[in-house]
Amino acid sequence: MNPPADVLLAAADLTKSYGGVQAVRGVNLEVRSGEVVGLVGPNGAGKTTLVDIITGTQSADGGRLTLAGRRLNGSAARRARAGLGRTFQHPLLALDLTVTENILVGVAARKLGTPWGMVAAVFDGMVRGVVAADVHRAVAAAHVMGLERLDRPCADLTLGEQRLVEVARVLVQEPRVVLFDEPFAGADANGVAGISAVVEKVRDEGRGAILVDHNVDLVSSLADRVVVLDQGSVGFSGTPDECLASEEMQRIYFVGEVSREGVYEQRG
Amino acid sequence: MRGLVGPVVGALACGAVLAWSAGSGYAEGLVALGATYSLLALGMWVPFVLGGSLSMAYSVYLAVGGYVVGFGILELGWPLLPCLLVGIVIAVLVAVALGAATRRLSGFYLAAVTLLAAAAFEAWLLDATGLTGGSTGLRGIPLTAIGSLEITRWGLLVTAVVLTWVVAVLFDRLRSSNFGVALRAQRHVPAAVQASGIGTQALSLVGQGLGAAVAALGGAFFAAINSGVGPETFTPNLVFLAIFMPLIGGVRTAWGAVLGAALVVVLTVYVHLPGDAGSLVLSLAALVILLLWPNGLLGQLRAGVDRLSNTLRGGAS
Ligand SMILES: Nc1ncnc2c1ncn2[C@@H]1O[C@H](COP(=O)(O)OP(=O)(O)OP(=O)(O)O)[C@@H](O)[C@H]1O
Ligand SMILES: [Mg+2]
Repeated sequence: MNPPADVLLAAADLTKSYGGVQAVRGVNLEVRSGEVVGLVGPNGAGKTTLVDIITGTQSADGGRLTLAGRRLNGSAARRARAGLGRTFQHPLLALDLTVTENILVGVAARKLGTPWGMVAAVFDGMVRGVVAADVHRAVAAAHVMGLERLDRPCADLTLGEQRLVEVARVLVQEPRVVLFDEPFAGADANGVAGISAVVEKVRDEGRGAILVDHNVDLVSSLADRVVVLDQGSVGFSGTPDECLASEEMQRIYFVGEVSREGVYEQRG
Repeated sequence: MRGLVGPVVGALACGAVLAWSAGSGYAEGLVALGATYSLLALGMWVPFVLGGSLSMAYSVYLAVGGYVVGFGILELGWPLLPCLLVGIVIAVLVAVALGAATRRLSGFYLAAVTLLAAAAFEAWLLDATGLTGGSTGLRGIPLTAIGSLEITRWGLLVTAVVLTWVVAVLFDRLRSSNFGVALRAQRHVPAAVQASGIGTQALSLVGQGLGAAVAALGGAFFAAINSGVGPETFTPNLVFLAIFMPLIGGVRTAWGAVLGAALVVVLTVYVHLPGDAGSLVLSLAALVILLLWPNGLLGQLRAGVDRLSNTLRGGAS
């Protein structure tokens, strides 16, 4: 029952309920090395919940997870150190910190992985302050995303720019599998291009990604495989072309009460 | 360049205060109080201002520092230095234990529970007469020598002021470091910091431990300089004052905590206002500053300097 060697992330039988709501019901999912898995589905289908229980932001009720063959469990921080990275549907940035500082959190994470690392970082920080090499990494990642004026507090950024900062923060962690939760919502054309390039880079480097978005065309253009989630379970899984052509897709997704364009307007 | 303003102005102010106090027992006492309040406010600054968790148990860490100095010197015959170190270690252990026990609490609940712990500790100080001297406390702590070096009250005072300067400089550096940035970020978006691979509870515990160490240092010097410590020396009331020190002085630099501590000493002790009017003036001042200048006095000063230099530059071009 061991997954093939090139499977990076394997999820088996994941479930999660919120009170009476079964948000995720017995989901099986694999992400292989160099593979982008698109995850689509109507509002409330359980996409974010799935991302949350894979990354440990929420605890799952049941199921098993492995990353590169190793059991993946414990806190979100531990899973991140094992090689998972994620962005959030509603960008989670410290708004009074600057762009550079928010990305620096991702750079700092490798040194703050253990309590002793933290103690060492306290002494190092008191003596040296901020380390130029770390700032350079953060700034370089910001420039990759096309961000400018990096000493602005994140409160001054547009939603699209905030997405770019989140992507930069996850980029500097160099995760083996990245879970993007609606990274394009609110992004302008440049932002969409920048984030798409990051997704493609993740694939080209032999890492893996899960890409959640409502824009099925965009997801299809980037993903190697598309999984359609419907009311917490996998309704369809296949290549983008198969997905777009499938009857399940038409039934599940396009006959929803919310038009896919409308979704962005509501959130922007 | 800007990074030098704090250390240089701070050093000048510290020197000026020491020069002003030299020779007067009363003035020296005020400066000792100012240094102790500063170290308390600096200690709280890390977990409270940077980390956003308000622990009220800082009177405990002050007292641990002070009592270990008293007990070590009077009862065990130890020199000052090991007493200082042991006091710091105990305070850090207590802070980490209390922080771990309250790790799921935040905001009001954290403040309430740690306040309770501080009150319980105060009661214990009165009870454990064998260790603490009960309600009289530990009095007549002699000034010991470090090797052949005689320690004087003045020498201790200068050392305490210098240490205050050192801690403020180091904490300002810490603020912008990896640790400081992560601690400040977890205050607002803990889930994002966790998702980056940083355990926010451990991060917060390390901050609490660091703060307790600095507070214990302050308590130790206060006891040594005043050759005594008692249950009334460090009360939870002091911690209430200490919350306002960085808010008055300014939250964006550790020097705000020092400035706030100095203002508190001036307003509540130096200026002889009838009754408890000093505290009243202080709370009014804090209220006004919080309403008008949310970045505190130093934040306001910096904004003013920025505006002025912009105007001058604009006028020159
Ligand atoms: N923290 C929570 N507490 C209670 N119920 C929740 C919580 N988070 C999600 N749910 C519920 O779980 C279900 C799945 O929600 P989820 O956010 O995972 O869907 P989604 O596919 O990401 O939707 P969207 O496209 O709107 O982002 C919904 O019915 C939602 O109301
Ligand atoms: Mg969602």
